[in-house]
Amino acid sequence: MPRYAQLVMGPAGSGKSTYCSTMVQHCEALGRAVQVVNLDPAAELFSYPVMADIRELIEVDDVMQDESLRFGPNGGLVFCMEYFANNFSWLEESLGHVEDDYVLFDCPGQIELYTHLPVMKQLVEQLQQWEFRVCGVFLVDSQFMVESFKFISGILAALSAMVSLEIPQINVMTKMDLLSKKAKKEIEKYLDPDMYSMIEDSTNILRSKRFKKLTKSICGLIDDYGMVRFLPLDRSDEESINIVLQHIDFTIQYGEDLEFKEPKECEEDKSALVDEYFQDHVDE
Amino acid sequence: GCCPFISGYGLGPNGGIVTSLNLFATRFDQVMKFIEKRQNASKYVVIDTPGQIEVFTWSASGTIITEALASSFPSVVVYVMDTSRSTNPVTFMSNMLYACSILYKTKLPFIVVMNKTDIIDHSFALEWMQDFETFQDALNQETSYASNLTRSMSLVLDEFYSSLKVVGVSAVLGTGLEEFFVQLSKAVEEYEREYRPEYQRLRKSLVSVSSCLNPHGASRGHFCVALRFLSFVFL
Repeated sequence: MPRYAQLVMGPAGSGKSTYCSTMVQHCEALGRAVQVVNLDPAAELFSYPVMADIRELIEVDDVMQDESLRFGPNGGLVFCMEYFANNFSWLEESLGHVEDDYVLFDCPGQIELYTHLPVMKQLVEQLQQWEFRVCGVFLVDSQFMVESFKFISGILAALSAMVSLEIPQINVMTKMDLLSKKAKKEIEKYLDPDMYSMIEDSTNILRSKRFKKLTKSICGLIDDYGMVRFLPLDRSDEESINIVLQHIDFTIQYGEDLEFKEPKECEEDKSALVDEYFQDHVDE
Repeated sequence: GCCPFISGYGLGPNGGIVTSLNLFATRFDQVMKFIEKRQNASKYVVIDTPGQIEVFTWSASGTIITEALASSFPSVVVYVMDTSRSTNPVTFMSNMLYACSILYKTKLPFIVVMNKTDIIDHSFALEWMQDFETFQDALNQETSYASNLTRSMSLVLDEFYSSLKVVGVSAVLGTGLEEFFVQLSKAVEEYEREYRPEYQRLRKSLVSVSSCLNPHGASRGHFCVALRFLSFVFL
């Protein structure tokens, strides 16, 4: 029986740990057992119990205090992750051998770990060897996406991670519940299938011809490939959480024994579900 | 540094860096004054950003700082890459996508500095950037993951490259720096020509910061601020 993993990634402050606790609670209500593993050596406190915590293996504080290494917080984090990658047996033991496991891995935010080090890719390969089906879940705080070019920036950051890990990835905009009605309407525009015709830099700063071409090609990409889009997540809305979960479950074929469909075939499903979310909220 | 925040406030290293940056941002008017005072003494101001890029690019503080600088002085983003860690086409693509993400975030002239050319020459990277097919071949040899998507992404990057300035340097040896300054001057011209009008407009709306600025605006041409994003930190 396969096991299932979500690699929860995203910039600092995007809400990874909150996402994990929200998911756990949501799944519990559905009668599903979901575990969380903390892989962020620089994490602070979290309010939920974890199956394993990388800080049991190695802590950034200890690394920083080591006089022979003399690392600051950045070098310390890198060192911890490389140490982790050389000690996967620790993770194997912590995960145990339960079948039908569903595990959320709360990952560090540093983009360098995805773009410059092989660590995260090695983790993916190792999990796959242990028969996990792995889905990347890339989180971005929706408050940073309320403007066309910021939105594009978010998409590109998500693509950056996706390309380096080579696993299916679902992108999530978090903290939708913190947005004003106006902001929500703004974001809704960018989730429209015909977005590129509506993309304009509100500040007109990037208005030269070459940027128009670049912007157009990015929007064409977003239009053609549904998987690069963002799903909204409002943690006060069970339906919103469920939509995200369904997408991920579908991607890793949780609970089903289907052949993996090409992402383009999922287009309609995804748009319909997203539209459903906005339909409920647009008239509030 | 941020270490007092880590021990004093019980924050983890992430929280330490973010909090430092936030506090720094609230004091940023002082930095602006400092820069203004030094305008005649130095031609360039280099702003070194945190090693965890996303702390700067995906935070309110980072945005505040960037906009404050860009709306007052000719500002240029300098994206530093470790060339020796970019030889894998997948990694290269991932890195360039992230650079593009920063371009859309900051909306400023962009210079990519391929550092550590003492370890490996950056000509392979230039070739990939100038010849789409060469890059695609290298990519196809490396991976078959979502090949249609990655091919489309390569086309997007192709457009991105035409809006970039790229320089190979070795910070350790000092090579390539002359060329860097040539590109920097061009970037400043680009700022004056294409970005200044809009940033003037933005400046007027940044009320809280503008109160401490030189009322006659930034001096032209010979002064510029370079925001250095270190894409990889290895201490």
